[in-house]
Amino acid sequence: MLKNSVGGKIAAAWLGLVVFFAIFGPLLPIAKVGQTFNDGLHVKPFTNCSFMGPLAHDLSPTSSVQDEDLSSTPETTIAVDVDTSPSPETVPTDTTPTGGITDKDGFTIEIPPPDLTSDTVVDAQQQEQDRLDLLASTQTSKRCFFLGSTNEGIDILSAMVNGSRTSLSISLISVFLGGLIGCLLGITSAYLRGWFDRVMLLIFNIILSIPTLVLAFALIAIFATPLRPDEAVADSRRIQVLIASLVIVIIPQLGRIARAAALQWINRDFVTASRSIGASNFSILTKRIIPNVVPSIFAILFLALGTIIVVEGSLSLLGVGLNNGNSWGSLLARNSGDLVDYPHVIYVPVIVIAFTIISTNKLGDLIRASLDQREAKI
Amino acid sequence: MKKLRPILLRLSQVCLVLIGATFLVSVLIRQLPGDVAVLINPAASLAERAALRQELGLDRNYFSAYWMWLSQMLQGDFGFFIFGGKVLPVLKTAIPPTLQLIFYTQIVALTIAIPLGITSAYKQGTRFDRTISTTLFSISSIPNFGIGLILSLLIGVKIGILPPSGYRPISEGLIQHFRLMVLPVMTLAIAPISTYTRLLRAEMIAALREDYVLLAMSKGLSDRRILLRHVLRPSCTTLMTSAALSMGGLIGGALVIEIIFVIPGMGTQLAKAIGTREFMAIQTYVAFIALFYVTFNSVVDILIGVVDPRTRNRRA
Amino acid sequence: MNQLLKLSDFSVSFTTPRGDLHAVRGVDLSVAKGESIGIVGESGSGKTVLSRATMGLMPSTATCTGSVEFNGAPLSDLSHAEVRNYWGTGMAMIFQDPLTSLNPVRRIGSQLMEGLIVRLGMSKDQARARSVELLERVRIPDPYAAMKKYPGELSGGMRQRIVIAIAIACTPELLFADEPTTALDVTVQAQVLELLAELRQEFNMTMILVTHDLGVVAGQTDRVVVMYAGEIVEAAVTKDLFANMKMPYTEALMKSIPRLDQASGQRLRVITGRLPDPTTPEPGCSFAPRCEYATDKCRAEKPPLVTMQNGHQYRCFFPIGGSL
Repeated sequence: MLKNSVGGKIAAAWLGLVVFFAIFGPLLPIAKVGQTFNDGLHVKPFTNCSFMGPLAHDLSPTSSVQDEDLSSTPETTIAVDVDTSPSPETVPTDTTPTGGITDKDGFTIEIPPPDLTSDTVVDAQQQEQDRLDLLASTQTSKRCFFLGSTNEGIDILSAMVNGSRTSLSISLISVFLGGLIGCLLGITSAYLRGWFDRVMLLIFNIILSIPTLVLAFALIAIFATPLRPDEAVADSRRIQVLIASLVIVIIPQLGRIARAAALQWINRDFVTASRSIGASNFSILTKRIIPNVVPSIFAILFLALGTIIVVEGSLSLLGVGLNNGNSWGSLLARNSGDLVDYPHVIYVPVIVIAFTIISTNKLGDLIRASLDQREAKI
Repeated sequence: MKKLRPILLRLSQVCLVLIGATFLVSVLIRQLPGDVAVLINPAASLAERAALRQELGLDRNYFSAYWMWLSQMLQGDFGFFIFGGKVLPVLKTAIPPTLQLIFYTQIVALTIAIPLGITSAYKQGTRFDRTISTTLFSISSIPNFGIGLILSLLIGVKIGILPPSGYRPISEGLIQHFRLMVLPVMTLAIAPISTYTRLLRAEMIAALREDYVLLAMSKGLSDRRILLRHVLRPSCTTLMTSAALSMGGLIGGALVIEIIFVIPGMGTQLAKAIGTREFMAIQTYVAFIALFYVTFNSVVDILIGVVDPRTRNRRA
Repeated sequence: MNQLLKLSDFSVSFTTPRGDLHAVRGVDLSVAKGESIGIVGESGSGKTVLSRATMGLMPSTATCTGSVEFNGAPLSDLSHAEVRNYWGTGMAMIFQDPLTSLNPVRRIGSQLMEGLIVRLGMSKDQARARSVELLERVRIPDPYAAMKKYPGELSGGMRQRIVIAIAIACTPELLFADEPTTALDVTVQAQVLELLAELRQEFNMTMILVTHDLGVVAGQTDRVVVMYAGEIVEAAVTKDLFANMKMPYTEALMKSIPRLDQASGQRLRVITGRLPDPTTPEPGCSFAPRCEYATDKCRAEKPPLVTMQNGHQYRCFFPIGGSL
């Protein structure tokens, strides 16, 4: 299938890389989970990086031994456990950073200016002092931020590697569960026909009459809302609700496709033939229909995977998805305010998401094309 | 009567789906944690709370609460905000921006996609065709919020020829209205442009192989005339179906795009309502979105019957 | 003789992933004004491709070589746009399947009037009047109502009449009829053939009738050309061909027609084997593998097209009834 397609090979390679990072990311030196660097706020991409030298994380002159120790004990768990990853909010964040200085090495580092709206002089002085400290440390930083850093000093490369784990798990789990349930319902209703089919189709149509994003938005908003408005929702709860909502919106979409595909096969002569020799419903379903329907659903699943990654990002931007910067979408949402001054915090996640979606779409297309060929041969 | 039957049948299906959808939402809304009565009036006594709950229908079961909501809706009472004010005036100001956004997008997408699709089909397999399909495939894979953010940055801020965000109703200046709409519409249109072009190209290539195209050619008609009069029209059916189906994606996209470009439409209002747990407003908004989506789909279905005589008998 | 159409050394090949497919190979054919010619052969023998390529109705994957002259104009040297000027007014075509050759989403009237307006520059009213005349001429009952109908609302026979009306709308000199009756019921077939014969006389048209059915050819044509694997294998005046056929292939075709005078229960003769693969031409006679008279010479050497004194042409070393 991939033999004659360069694009397909690139797509498969990229997805392989993403999956590799998603599984082994925490074990790699580039992904120091949630680590923030006070001396590297809003660093531009490729700053200070020599491609031949060792990773600059390791020769940072200002970082203490303690820092190194902390980072060299990466998480060994592979499953999604976003709760356990340390929160990146350890740096004073100022949302209106406008000051900037140019270092003698020629790279620009932006420093938050003093907050002029502060009430007390002491506060202002303290902040000015903080800023100067920060400035001093940044100027001596020889740390490499390959893809730059955010306003919280998070290395974007490591954030992307870590985000791949959350983003991919959420999409894979929801597409898998949604696809499984959708296929089962769709195929069963195509096979049984009658009232079951009608009711199923009505339910599918009802759910589909609310646009995907609106429904997911509402579901999460309702089920991941805390009792009191000022309470925070645990990230694990958010992820569970997110996945559940995505599953609910996927089921009718794939269910309808599976139903249509199954109907096509059910009307073929060989199914009628096995019916006429008295094969049981169950054996016709498992031996004749499912093996034929599943491959075509598989192609759709790839396409759905891309869509779900976008929906996840959209939900973060709408303020109901993850907001801890731990998935691609939430990283984007968290930093979208810095767009004008530090566009790289947006470019990197957008490009990574786009590449991933191009890859899933391409692979989905290829699978479909090869299925069409097989179909043509029959 | 004979002609009306399929339309009536369709209408009853639509009503059934809409009732199901609104009922689903009303059931979901009741799952919101916490006591709404407490939210509205934290200082209320127990008796006052009970009265309030009764007034809001919170003490009823799902069906009777839904019936109460539906009859209120049908009487033009769209509920009120817990923190003050009626939903109706907000709805009135929120619907136009969203509708404008979606309709401009459809118009732009179709006006770009139809010529592109026709040309790609006509020049099938050439460099032009391949370039167009690869470009569209890649661009449409970029998530719309990413395109929105980048466009607003590059064109709105860096180049500065268009305002990066905001909204102005038509009544306050047509030019400014359209200038503000350009970027969000461009952002939203990219995905449908790609879908429509691909679809139209495939449909037209299939239609070009038909015998009736050979017959049209053998009449001595020009290629242009054949493409536009003979090939485009049968291919349009699928395009229209796709335009209707992509409406759901557009509405969802509009929610995000409204937030990025600060447009006070349904998306912004819905997000606000969900943030502040305005359950009545959420229910009304979602009902309106579903109503709009389903209505649009049905209208397109009926239009397809007019354009394509082949489908007329199929439905009856 | 007054030549209307002249093909010399005309070949058509298609570029396919499996190599070049030679659908028509070195055909020489001349058609006189007012003549009616039948092209006969089984499916895949290249007869449809020959007729379409002569008109120039070919996809871009096809390459045509050799020359086509129509009324003295070298069509094969003209550009696509120039050739188009001859379509409709100079030559027109009737297609095999009336179910697919009418545009399903346009009314009969607009499809019929279109050619008249575009090619003859008629006004809408003129075109409408002329269309009704044409529909009457091809014996459509209630032509006014038919003008407003979509193809899907008419029967196959009706549709084929409409296709004929469209083809003759601009009074072409040369009419290609590509299996015009194959998709129709037997009773309708006879009516359509009769109609074609009438129209041919009335408009003084030259006709090229492409069919696999020798029976159709017998009553309709002055001359018959038999094609096999893209080549002309036999050509003669119709009467002469039926009385005095030379090619074993023609004979086999003849025998495969079911006949009433055959004893019932007797099996229908079929031509065994199948057409040779057009991507890999064989060295010898292309019919040799299926021919019951074939010798080693037939398999090794390609027989030339022999012309007899009365103009009867055949491509065989061992013709039936001996050479000459």
